[in-house]
Amino acid sequence: MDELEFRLAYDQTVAPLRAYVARTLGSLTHVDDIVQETYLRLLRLPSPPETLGELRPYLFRIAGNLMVDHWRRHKHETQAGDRPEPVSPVRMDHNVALEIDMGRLFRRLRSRDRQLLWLAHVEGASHREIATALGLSLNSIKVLLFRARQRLAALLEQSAHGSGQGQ
Amino acid sequence: MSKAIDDRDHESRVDVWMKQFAAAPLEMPAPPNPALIWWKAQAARRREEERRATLPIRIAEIIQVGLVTIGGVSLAAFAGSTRPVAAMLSTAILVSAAAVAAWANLARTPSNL
Repeated sequence: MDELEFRLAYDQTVAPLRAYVARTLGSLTHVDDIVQETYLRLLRLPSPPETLGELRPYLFRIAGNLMVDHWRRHKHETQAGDRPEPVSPVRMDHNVALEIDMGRLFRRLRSRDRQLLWLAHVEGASHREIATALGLSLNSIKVLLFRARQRLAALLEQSAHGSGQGQ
Repeated sequence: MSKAIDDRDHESRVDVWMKQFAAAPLEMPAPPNPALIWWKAQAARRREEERRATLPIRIAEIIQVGLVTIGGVSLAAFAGSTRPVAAMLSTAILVSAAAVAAWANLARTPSNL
C-alpha cells in the first residue's frame, strides 16, 4: 500500500470507524488513540486488504480488539468510564441533551452488545461481517444479536417507563 | 407466534433507536492527520528493519563475549599446565571468538542496515 492508496482508504473509512469507536467506547478521550493505532497496525501488514469491502471489516476488527484491550486495561476505571463527557452549559441544547441521554442508555449495555448492535444496525453489516469484525463464530452471531436487541429493548422500555412516571 | 411478533417488534424498535442514536450529533475534534499516521508507520517500519538487520550482530556479540570469557578462564587455569591439549583447547576457543567477531564485523555492512 503506498501513501496515496492509504490516504484514499483512510478518507473512506475514518468517519464510520471513529463513530463506531466513540459510540461503543462511550467516551471520546481515547477514540483517536485507538483509531490511529488501528491504521498503524493496518500499515504494518505485509499485504493489507486491497478492496474497501475487505478493508472495512478488517479495520473494525482491529479497532474492536484494541477496544477490548482498552477495557481490560481500564477495568478499574469502569465507573469513571460510565460517566458522560463533561458538557459546557453553553452547548447544552436539546440535541446535545438527547445525545447524552441516548449515549448514557447505550453505555448501560455490555461492551460486546454495543459492538454487535452498532455493526448490525448502523453499519448494516451482515452476520458474516460481524463475525469477522468481532472474531466470533458465524453461528453465534444470530443468538448474540438477538440477546443484545432484547437487552436494549428492555432498557428502552425501562427508560420510557421511567420518563413516563416522571411526568 | 406472539414471541416471534415480540422479536420482530424488538428488532424494529431497536433499529429505529440505533439509527436515531447514530444520527445524534457527536462533537469530536478533527480526525488524526493521515500524513502523520503514514509517517509514524514508515518510522516504525524502518526501526523494525534496523532491529532485524542488527539481530545477527547482537547475537554474535553475545557469543563472542561468552567464548572470550571461557577461553580466558581456561587459559588462566591451564597457564602452568604442561599438557598441550589444554593449551590447544584454550587457543581454539579464543580463535573461535575472533572468528565470530570478524563475522559480526562483516555483517555490519551498510546494505544490512
